[in-house]
Amino acid sequence: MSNTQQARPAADAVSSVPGAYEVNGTAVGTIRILDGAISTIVKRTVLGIEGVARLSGSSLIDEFADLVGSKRMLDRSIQIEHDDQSLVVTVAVNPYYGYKFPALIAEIQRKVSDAISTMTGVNVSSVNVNIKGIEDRPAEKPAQDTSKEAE
Amino acid sequence: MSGKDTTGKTVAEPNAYTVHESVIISLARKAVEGIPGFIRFSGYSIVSDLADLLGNKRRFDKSIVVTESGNEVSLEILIVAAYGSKFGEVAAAVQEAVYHQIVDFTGMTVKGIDVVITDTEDAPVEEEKPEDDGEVVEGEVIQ
Repeated sequence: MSNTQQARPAADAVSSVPGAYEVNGTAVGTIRILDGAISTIVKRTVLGIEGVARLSGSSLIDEFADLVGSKRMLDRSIQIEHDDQSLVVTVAVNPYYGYKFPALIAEIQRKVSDAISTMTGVNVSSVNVNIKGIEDRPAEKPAQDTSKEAE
Repeated sequence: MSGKDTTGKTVAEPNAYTVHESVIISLARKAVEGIPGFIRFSGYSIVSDLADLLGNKRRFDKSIVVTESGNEVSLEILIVAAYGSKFGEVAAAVQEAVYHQIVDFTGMTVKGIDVVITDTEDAPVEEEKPEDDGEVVEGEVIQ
């Protein structure tokens, strides 16, 4: 806090992180994290939660955006806003049918917030979840051995 | 070393020398190798060019930017950190390694090393695990 350097505001889509290497008590430089990295954390965390089918938005376009490395299109499903010293994350997901929303949303909020603060050290003031659709589960894997017997 | 201070004092010396930017970049690259949590420099891939083409404003094709003025040098380093690692620690380790590498080898004053974490991804998997001896065979001791 005593640091005089100002974190540049949201325009640069960057979060400043304390803890730079110091020589004689002076930080050697700044550490910044781009929103793209935070988007990746959000995406991977959310997709790792049971009950989440996918992020909303056109998955085809998002995948292409990913491939191309453009984070802007990914913004369709993940938005990151910069508060003073913290982040506000908004994520749009499609859950599977059969999961209760409040519990699922609470889990998303907790895990996303934890993952971001663990990895980046940046505070997350809120995680907003938008449920934009619902999907049926893909056919169950433990389909017994009916297929084998059918042969 | 000539007892030169690295606290930012500029020492005007009669026998000036220059170190080319590419040398500093090479030194920085070498210094960063093997740092836990460091995956790669950003902007190595073709895709960033493509992203550029598609109107991505920021240019990531230069992962290490060196600014020299006299005997002082500052760097901006763009990296991808390991998913699950603590970015701040990775970045600080990068700063430390690069700082000492440049100070030790060039004698220049390092004014600043800014680290930008552009993305995060998994570390490449190494599957050269010997048969299950239960022995830890990690011979890599980084001094």
